[in-house]
Amino acid sequence: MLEPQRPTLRDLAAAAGGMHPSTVSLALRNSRRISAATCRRVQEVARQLGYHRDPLLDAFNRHRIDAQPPRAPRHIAVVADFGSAAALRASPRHALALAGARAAAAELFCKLELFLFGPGQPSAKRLDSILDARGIGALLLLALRPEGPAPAFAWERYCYVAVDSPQLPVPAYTVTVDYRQAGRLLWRLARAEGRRRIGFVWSDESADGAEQRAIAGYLFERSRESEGSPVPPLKLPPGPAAGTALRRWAKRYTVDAIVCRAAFRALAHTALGDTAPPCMAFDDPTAPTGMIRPDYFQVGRHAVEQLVALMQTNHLGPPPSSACTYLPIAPDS
Amino acid sequence: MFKPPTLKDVARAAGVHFTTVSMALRGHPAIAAATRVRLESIAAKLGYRRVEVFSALTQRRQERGRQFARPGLLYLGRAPRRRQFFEMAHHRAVLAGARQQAEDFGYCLETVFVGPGGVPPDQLTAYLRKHSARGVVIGAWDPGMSAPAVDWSGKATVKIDSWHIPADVPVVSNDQLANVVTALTELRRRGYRRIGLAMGEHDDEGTGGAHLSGLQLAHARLAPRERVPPHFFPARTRMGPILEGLGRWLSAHRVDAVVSNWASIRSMLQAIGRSVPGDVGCACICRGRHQHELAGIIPNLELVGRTAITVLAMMVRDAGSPRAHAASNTCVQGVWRPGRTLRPAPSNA
Repeated sequence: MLEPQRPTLRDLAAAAGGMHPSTVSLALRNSRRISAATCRRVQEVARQLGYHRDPLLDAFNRHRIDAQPPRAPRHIAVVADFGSAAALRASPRHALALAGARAAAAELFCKLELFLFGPGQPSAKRLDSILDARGIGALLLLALRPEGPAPAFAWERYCYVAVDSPQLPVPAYTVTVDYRQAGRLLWRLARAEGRRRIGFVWSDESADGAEQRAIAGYLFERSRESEGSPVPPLKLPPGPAAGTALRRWAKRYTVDAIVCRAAFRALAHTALGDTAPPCMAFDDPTAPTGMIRPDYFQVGRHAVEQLVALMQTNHLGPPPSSACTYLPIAPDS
Repeated sequence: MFKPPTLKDVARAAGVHFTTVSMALRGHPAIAAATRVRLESIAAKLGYRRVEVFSALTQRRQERGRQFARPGLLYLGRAPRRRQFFEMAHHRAVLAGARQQAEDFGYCLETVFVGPGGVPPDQLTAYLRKHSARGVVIGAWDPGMSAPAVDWSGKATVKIDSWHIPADVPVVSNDQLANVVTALTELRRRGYRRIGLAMGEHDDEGTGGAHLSGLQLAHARLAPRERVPPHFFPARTRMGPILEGLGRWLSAHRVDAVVSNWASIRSMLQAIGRSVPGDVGCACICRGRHQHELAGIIPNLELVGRTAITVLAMMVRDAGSPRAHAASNTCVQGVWRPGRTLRPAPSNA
């Protein structure tokens, strides 16, 4: 691991034709202030020279940054599929994720700016030109719904990370809660409470992976017990038929606990009234103690950290494959 | 914003130069014991904590102009034999991605084999403690072997697969769960109705049950009569009995297509007299890039390696700060590729 004097930023600046080290530093980071051609040239010279980042300096900067006021923060655009900022705040999951993102951004010397996207808001193309004019090259995608407008951004120009696994038309890095673990934990919690007829209710299987992962966890735990005849999962039909299907299923299988999305609880109360079995949600950050509480704050935080890592290593554009990071659910204290 | 106490704060409180404090806290022989004790207690009262990174950086500056070591990361492999790990195309691809990403970050990646010919498993804890590397990747250890009792707490650690290794650290893997679901979906689109999953007996220990979970998820959407129970190839068994077991399972459940994580599945089926795709179709969920005839999923192994290093670098960067890193699980998607081992998909699909 020993090597002779390694090339520094100044060596690189000299080799690139007598540029100033700060120009070189900006060019290595694909800054918009430097022309694309110059960026490419400088990066090529860096490769030839064997210049590489110094992780000790990176770590050092992290500590230094904590003590200094920001001079020129890097901008990250949070693109959220909500009609208004108030609507975003009203959704606990997304409000928490945004709060976590802001916390991480503050630590990492970045500035977050919220851009709304979706019904009644600027289109992707318009957002592209706004972000370009502002010199913003990093996106944090929040809650882009699959049935919403297809987000046709110029993906190659951005570093981007998505939160809570929306279905994007391009490969992406995503951060979300470990719903599979959630499904497993909820099964065990229900059993610990003495429930024996635990059912799972799902609705839209194509949309996002949350329900799929949760049911995978539920089934996995269930398969490890050899209790009699298990309750088959119920896929809710759309529309008013849902209530009837739910009633029939709950009665037929004498369900005494339901694992489901938080949003489903309203239907359960309408359809089953007072006899509704407890609904254990796998995606409720405001769940009471004794239930699992997924940490969306951490999700937002982790997403920004990943995004900054991409920015630091100039990984623009779609990754070669999608990769999803599942954050564990902390055991309730 | 709260600023943590610095060396200079301690120096000011003690009425000495900050160099004196630095030398004292480092145990430099030039500083008298009495002075050292006094400065240590003042530092403790102020809540001053040494930041390892600063010391390392100072050392670096002092060594400038002379040779010095690039910070290192370790990549540990474990398998019954060394060549089974570092020469397998699968592991080589992951390692290539890890190496590239390590260089991008400015680290040097060193590979170490744990087992015969390398570091003995019972000496691994001591080896890690002595090694100057800042972080460790546990690179997809073979689950069929005994897991040595190792103390991983000394260094930032990340696992690739290796769920059977008791270390509560971030894990990076292929998305085996999604791969199984995708494979079964693609096979059903081609009209197969008796699809079976076949894998090595211990293969799922490394993945945390991901293959079985994927199968259960796919089965949840099928009628009970269409659910074929999975088949497990026994470990440490000659190929003869393995093939016999495969044949018995195929017949007993009237399997019309096999999904496996073993890339040799096609030749195995042919060895027991089944023609592919004539008698039975097959697909591999962990297919090599160059196995063009074999239908299945090509995992993005380089990205798995790269992601493991990215996560590790973040942990190393944060070492010494109070923030803990949650033991996240990152799943990297692969890509489905059709092949000649399956019936063609219907043209209107």
